[in-house]
Amino acid sequence: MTAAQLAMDYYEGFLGTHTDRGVSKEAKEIRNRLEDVHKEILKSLSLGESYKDSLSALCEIAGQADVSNWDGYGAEQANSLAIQQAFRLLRTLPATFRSPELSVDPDGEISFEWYMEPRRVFSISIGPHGELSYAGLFGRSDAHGTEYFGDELPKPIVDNLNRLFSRRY
Amino acid sequence: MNFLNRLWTTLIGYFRAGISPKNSLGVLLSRFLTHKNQFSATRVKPNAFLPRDLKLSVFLTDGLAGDQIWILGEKYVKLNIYGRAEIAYVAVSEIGLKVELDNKPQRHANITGWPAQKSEQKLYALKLAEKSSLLLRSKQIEGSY
Repeated sequence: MTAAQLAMDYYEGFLGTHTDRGVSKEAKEIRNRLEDVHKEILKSLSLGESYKDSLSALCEIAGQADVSNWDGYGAEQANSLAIQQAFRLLRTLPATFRSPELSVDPDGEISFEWYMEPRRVFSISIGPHGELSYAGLFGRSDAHGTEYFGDELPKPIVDNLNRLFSRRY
Repeated sequence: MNFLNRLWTTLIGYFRAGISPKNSLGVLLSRFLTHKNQFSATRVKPNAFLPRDLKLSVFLTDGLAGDQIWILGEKYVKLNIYGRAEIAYVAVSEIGLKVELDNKPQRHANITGWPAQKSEQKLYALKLAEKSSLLLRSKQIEGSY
């Protein structure tokens, strides 16, 4: 599967399902407006560029790990549901945080990493059912935990990202 | 008895790999990097150190010259090798993980002692990545000319 095909498949599924559990006219209206805003963001400014870069990076890494044992050490292929969750997560990340480096984990989950400098790094892996495993090094402190990704970023993840970017440790 | 068996296997392993047990703390381990996912331009990414089935495959590369290490990797790792992450045995030990030398193939070892929870594995992987050095194969080849 090419990166372009992956982008189409995952991107459309992701736009259609994000945060919307409602079927009412109002819910559809809200969803349409969100999609319009999202498209405008994509068209505009550097904000859209960096998001687009992340989307294409995700397609690229998913395409590169599209077979079992892609690392020669028995890794599982990139999990298609995890990729969809990763698209959803990318869209939810606050634009004030810089773009993460994306990669595929040996268990097929997708990892998002923000590396600032030695001992200043935070990483999240997202699995097929939205499970978020995170870990970070913040100077002499560290943190790790598991959360579930619903419609918005769980607070511990936001707190750790704020901690990383504001250097409050 | 199990302890004695493990000790004996370890000692035999070091002997076969040509490494003195008393110097094992200074031993260098290499994790061969077989995918662009596993490194960036300047550093090893933590996911290069995430285990499969609670084991992380490494080679003891102490005492080998750069070329010999690449040959070792080519011989036993069946994919294109982009580089390697080099880490000291002592760094692995300090983090709280173990190195079990099995010499299958020769100089091969597994980093073991991993927790079952993924977030904790990620934390260990972050620490291993911090302590490791990235050696890219292309740079070494360019440097040798």
